[in-house]
Amino acid sequence: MAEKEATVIVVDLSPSMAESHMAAAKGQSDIEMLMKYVYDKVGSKVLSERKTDVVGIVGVGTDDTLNRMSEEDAYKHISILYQIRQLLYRDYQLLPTKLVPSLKSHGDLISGLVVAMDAIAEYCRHLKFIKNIVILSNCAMPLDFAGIDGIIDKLAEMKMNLSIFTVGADEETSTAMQRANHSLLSDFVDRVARRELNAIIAPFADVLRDLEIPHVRKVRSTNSYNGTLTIGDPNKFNDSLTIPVERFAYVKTATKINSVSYIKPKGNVSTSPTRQATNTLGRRIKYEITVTKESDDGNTGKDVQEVEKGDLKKGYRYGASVVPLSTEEEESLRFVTNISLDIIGFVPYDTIGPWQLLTETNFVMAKRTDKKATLCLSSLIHAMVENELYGIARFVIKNDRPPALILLIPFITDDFEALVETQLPFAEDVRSFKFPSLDIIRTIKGKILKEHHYLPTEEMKNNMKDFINAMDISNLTPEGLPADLGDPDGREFAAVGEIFDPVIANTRQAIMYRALHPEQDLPPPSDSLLRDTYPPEALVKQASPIANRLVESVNVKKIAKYKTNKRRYAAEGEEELKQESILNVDELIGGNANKNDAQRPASKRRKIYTTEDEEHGEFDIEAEIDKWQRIAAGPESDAALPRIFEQACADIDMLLSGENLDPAVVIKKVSILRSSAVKLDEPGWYNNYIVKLQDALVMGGLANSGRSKIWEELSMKGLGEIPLSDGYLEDDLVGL
Amino acid sequence: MDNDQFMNPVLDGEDAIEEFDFRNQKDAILYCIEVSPSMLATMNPAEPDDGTEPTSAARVALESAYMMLQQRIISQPSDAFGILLFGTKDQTDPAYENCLMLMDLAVPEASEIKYIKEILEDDQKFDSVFTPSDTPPSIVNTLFCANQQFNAKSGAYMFQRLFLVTNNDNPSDPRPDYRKSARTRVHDLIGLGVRIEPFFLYTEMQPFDTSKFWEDVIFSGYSSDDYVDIQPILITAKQGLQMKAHVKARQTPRHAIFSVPLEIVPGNLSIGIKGYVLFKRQDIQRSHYVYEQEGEKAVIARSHTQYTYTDTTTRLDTRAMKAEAKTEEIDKNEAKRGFKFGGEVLPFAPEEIQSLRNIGEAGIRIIGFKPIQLFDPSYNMRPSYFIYPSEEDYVGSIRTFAALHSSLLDENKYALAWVKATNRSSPFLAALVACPEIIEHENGRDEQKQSPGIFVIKQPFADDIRDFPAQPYNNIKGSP
Repeated sequence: MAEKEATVIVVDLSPSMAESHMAAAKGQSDIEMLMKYVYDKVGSKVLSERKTDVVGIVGVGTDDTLNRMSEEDAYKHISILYQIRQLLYRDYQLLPTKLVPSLKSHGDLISGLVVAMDAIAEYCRHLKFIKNIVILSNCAMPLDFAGIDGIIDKLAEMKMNLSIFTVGADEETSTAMQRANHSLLSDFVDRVARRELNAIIAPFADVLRDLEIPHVRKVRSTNSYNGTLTIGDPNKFNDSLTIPVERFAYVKTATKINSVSYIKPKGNVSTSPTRQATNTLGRRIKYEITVTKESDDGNTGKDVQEVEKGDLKKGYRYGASVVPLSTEEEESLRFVTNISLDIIGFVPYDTIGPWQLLTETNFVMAKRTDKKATLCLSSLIHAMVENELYGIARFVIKNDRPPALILLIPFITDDFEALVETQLPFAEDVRSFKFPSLDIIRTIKGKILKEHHYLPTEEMKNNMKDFINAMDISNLTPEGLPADLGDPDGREFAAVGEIFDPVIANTRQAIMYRALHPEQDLPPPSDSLLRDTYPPEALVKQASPIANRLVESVNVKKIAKYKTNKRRYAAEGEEELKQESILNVDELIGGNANKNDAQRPASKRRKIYTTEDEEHGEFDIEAEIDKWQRIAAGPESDAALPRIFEQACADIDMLLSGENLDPAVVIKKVSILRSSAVKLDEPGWYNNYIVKLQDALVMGGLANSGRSKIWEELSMKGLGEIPLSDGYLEDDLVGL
Repeated sequence: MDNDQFMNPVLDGEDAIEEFDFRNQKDAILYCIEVSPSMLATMNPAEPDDGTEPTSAARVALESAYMMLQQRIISQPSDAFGILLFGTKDQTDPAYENCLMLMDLAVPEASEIKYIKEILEDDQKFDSVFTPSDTPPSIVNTLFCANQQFNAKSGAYMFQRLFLVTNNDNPSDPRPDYRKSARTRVHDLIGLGVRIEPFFLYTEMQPFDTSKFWEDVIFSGYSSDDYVDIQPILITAKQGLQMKAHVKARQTPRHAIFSVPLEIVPGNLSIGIKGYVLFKRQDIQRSHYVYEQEGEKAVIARSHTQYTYTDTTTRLDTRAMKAEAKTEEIDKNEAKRGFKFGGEVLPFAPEEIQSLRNIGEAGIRIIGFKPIQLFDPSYNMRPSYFIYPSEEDYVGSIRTFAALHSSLLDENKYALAWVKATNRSSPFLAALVACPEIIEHENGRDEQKQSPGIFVIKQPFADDIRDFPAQPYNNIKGSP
């Protein structure tokens, strides 16, 4: 349980608050600026729905006067706008209409403080509360410091926290009055602070910066284990070690703000004075089974039937069978364990990869009231650190809970020592998927390749190393540039614990926004939330020459996605390339969709062509066209392109030498090849090939089997050499 | 006045990455075991007292299948499993000669599991089932039979795998073009989405040369960034256990749960990677409510919460009539969603709720690099993810990833990254820690003990770190 807290906000509502005194506010009035604070502060409390986090708001400079001291002149035009209480949605919604600067009235801010103190004193009496007073003002009105000594005594007596946030009061454009007031308030705050109270005065720019830092809900942990840590079985050995310990959460995922589902009551709420209609929402758990029924006409159908809970037993699935287990049977199967934390042994730090850890972490610390235990555990922790050892232990959190294998990491800071505990996997928890080596390629035939387009060159590796070192963020100046070793301003960028959960912060902001603007769309998440999740700009800029060298050397190309071809990488099965081919055309350009495989998951199956050339299966002309068009359009690596082109040519040769030749397919392929060459601006590639092809078809080995006709058709369709004139791009779609 | 009636808090997709995890994916395995005189040859223990019994390769294969079946039926009870013996004298279907379906590919029934157990325990039964045919079986025919098994259940399973256990490195077939036909069958299986995982067995006496036949046939289906283990497995009476270990290792199909770009240079260099789950707590299967009637099989009862209204009209005067209560069931679709705020619910559209956690695009963005000494395992949050490159969307991903991987290891650094693994999941901060490949040579095989890759280790937000508990005696320091 968090402590009870009472907060009173004193807001200056004198006419000058409608003006703008803060340069950075860009014309927004002082009250608009200060309301940002009010909305956030009050909104957080409304959202928390904590009954013990109460708020009151005092307006200074209101037209009316509403306070207990209203008889006295000094307290005129000071109103308690919100009595101290748990504020609810309606209260929040009314903030913009209630906190409006007056057109004519002035009040004294110090008197406002006194009204606030009085309200807190009345509400809290002698109960234990955290008491806060926040004063928001532009300091434009005269202040009456009469009796200030008594006020300070009273603040000290009540142990009040005091914050004064000024808007536009100490800027170059501020009036003499504002500046004088500001320095008087500063003196006042100094005097309060000397009484060992939390008292601050800050310009609103600082407050805005603080508002950007998301609010973290502090959770006080309770211990989740209260037992002993043992080394060796104390029941068997005299020299075993037993230390009383407790376990507390260290890292635990903060609960997100979850939505609720709700129902608006139906029907009319009765207005009759003698009748009252109440809608109660109830719930019950329904149990249903599916039964197979044979109807009169002999067909069997399925039917859902509700069953009573009393008729149900507990059971387990065993394949398609269901095995009911009675309570007694379950009892006899229970794995009996006793609450314990036994250290099994110690292992050097480097034997456990950090990726093997399974769970959130906890502190195992000596029982806090036990001096001897503290000393014992501390010795153990220091011994582990000195020898660089982790502990491995068997842990049963409660009797009859399954045992867990845990890792114990020694943890020492200036004034805190503990063992950090996290679970290790059992054999069943490890999936031994295998992935190929990254530094060599083993071909299926067992050959080892050290050069391949999948393998980085020395140049790429060196560039990557340079980049990694240039982008080191472990010690940066506030500007985001590398700091010298020992630079007092140098700090780790985005250290653990400095970045806030954007989902929680974003949800909070959205809820508070919706409360004030029910009809409007939600604003996008604020930029500040994600600022430190990007590399620091200055560093990126400085590292850019190194980065560019890296980018150039690795030459990564994004493959264009085709809308019409969502199921890429489906199995092909209709085309095979030469065995020696290291280059996998399909990988470079993506596979093509085979209509027959449309039902298959999209993630499947690329292939490497290792079998001997063989004509195989049906030729899918559409898939083929699709593929070659992609070559033409795709941003493949330039180095790879000639290879792809060669493969394509070899592919056509293969078709021509095979049986069951379909000339239409060849023509289609050649035409796609030609237009690809045009698009790639490499007419030479095509021309070299087509000349050879012509020779083969007309005079060479292919001429005999009637293949020469194909050449006739090719030339008829204008698929001969690409004329190397300036205008060759114009005929790029010939033959398609 | 509070007019809203709360039903229940809705968990807004706490960790949507996990939605795609294995539990929800059905898996089918057809376990094919060759039956031949050599598969049935008795293997005697190397030494009389080494604690092993005489056995045969076929028996070890069936034992491995049975072991796997027993484990899966508990941990993944909705997965399908089938056992096909080929080369038997008998056949289940005359169309598939020498193919005996010991167990059809389906979610197994308890009675079927018992049947397998009986075969293993009763030598006579075993011998009668495992009777080899006079002529060697046709591998083409066998693959076709397997195909039919998968085809009958087409689309029902996310992962389909064929475990092929044989010691024959050069199967023959009466047909002259059987190599080509076998390849066609393999293509057909791959076309169906079936992955073939060979278990090639060899002994000191009978080696196994994968290049004779199988490489050609099996590997037309795999891409080069896929990992297919074709190394033959030594089988002796003692090595039966090793076979079981191999079967166990391949129990879970390798499958990516996310596939996103990894941004290395801001705005200038991204590569394709896929994410895998290598560590996951295997929990005890949860119990169900079951309904059992005399003489009928027990069935599982599904439960769901039914919300109701009770509309009570009460007279307020003293001679109050009894309240007439009318209870009505509520259709789930009537419910709206919103967030609680100061005693009321502020309405939010479902898309708005989703958008609140859907911050940014799916992807992994490297923020910068830090010395590995700054990485603190005390901040562990959950099991790590493993990432490995893929060339699907970015050509050059593998070489770039490999350069990053080796540089991280050489320079002793890790990368700090912002991770949004899928479109629907919440982003988080993570350490990218490279792990080296470890290969050990044992039992005549090179065994990869650890795959090379990069682990994505989630790091806590400020919100997730608790304060140190108060320690009254923090001035007490022990010495070792």
